[in-house]
Amino acid sequence: MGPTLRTSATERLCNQTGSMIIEALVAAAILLGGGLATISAFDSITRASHTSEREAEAVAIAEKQLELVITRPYAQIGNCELPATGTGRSDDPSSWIQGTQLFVARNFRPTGSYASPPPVDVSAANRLAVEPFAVSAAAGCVPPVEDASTAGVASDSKINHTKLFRFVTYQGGQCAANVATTVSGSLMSSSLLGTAQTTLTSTASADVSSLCTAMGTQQAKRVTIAVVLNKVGNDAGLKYPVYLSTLIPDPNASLHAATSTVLG
Amino acid sequence: MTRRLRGQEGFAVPIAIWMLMLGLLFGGLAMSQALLGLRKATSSWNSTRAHAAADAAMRMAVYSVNTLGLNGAAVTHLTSALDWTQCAAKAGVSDPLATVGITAGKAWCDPVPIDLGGGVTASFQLSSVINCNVEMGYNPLPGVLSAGTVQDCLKRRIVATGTADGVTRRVYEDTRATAAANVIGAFGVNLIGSVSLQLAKPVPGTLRECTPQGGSAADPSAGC
Repeated sequence: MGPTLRTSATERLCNQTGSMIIEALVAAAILLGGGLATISAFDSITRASHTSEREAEAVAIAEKQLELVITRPYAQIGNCELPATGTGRSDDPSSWIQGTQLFVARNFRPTGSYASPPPVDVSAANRLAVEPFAVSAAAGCVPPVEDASTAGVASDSKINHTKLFRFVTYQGGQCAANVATTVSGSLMSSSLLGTAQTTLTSTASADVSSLCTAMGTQQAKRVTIAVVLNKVGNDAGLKYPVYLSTLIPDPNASLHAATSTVLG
Repeated sequence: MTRRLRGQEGFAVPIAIWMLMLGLLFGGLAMSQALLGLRKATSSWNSTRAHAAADAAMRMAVYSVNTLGLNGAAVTHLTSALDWTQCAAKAGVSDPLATVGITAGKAWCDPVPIDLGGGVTASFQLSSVINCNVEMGYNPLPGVLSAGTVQDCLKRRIVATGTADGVTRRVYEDTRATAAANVIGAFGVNLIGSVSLQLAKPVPGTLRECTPQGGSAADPSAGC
């Protein structure tokens, strides 16, 4: 009887012939899978890193631009011309322009993630105010849009194109109905000569009333800066603009405008 | 055992797994660093927005003092021992602006909220009127009016807070206004015949940053 070629399962397991090849294949498969995952993760890491770099630069540019605008004399804080309306997409700051007014949103960036930027949310729920632009072509006025600019970009930066938006609008505020009464009432004093008291309280009452009318539409100027940056090769960058805003009331505004003083 | 070790069988898979683990560890570290950088950049943006909001609130505080005549009552009640401080008042962010007298015993007005849009809010708090005649080199306020001109210096302390996406910045500044009251004798008593109150202006060199959470209800300027 010739030798049998058949071996039992236990014998085959005990016999390690060929296990090196299987092992090598399994190891190669693990390394290949792991390598591919690492490469794709590396791409995400690079993109995240570039995005944060970009955001930091955009914030620095916005801060510098805001500083440049607010340090001007109050009269010069205004747009040289009315900015044009935008594309309607949320990655375009001009999309918030509605004719001669700016839609001041409670949230400028869309919530949730989108493959491509959705339209701007101009619903009533997202509306803080709709304000008219402060437009004046006087010397020193602020151009509303500056395209292909490298203003404020560091020399070693990968940014080669920024688009700056500088919107100046009038912010309004409402006075309480009884504010003229409370202001003039607070000035009444037994230390005042009768005629002086009458003049002071009636003048203050009239001044508050006219001031409140003006404050309803022009309490302060709102300066809104938006920065849009170019994207780099791996599509890293900011999906939405960086916004920065502040309010500038007239530093010389006074209750008694006739004399530029508060009283008298 | 020795033979199996010498045979080097069964080493490839554990080594591959270890290599993979090492790669994942380094990859994870790099990813966490990148995400940290992204979070820092966003936090920096929020901090900048909060600071701009606090600055806006500071300016609005001075504006309200000047346009609503909040220092006026302190001038027309020159010799009164009571606190005639007037405050800007706004219960909610969308409520209209009003004025109220400061509550007896309180050194600070209630905060006035402002909504700047884009998820940024701010508020300002004015202190009670503080006499600053000594700082200006004026005579102290008289207890009884006598004919002539009385000079008065009125100081307010302001704390303004800005908040953007949970990041808070606070700033502090003093504001000062001067006034002159012309006292004349009439019917045997001395009374104020006319008053001139100038605009309140920020005092140079007093603007400073405060710790974000340092203020208290009794003293909002704590930590400034």
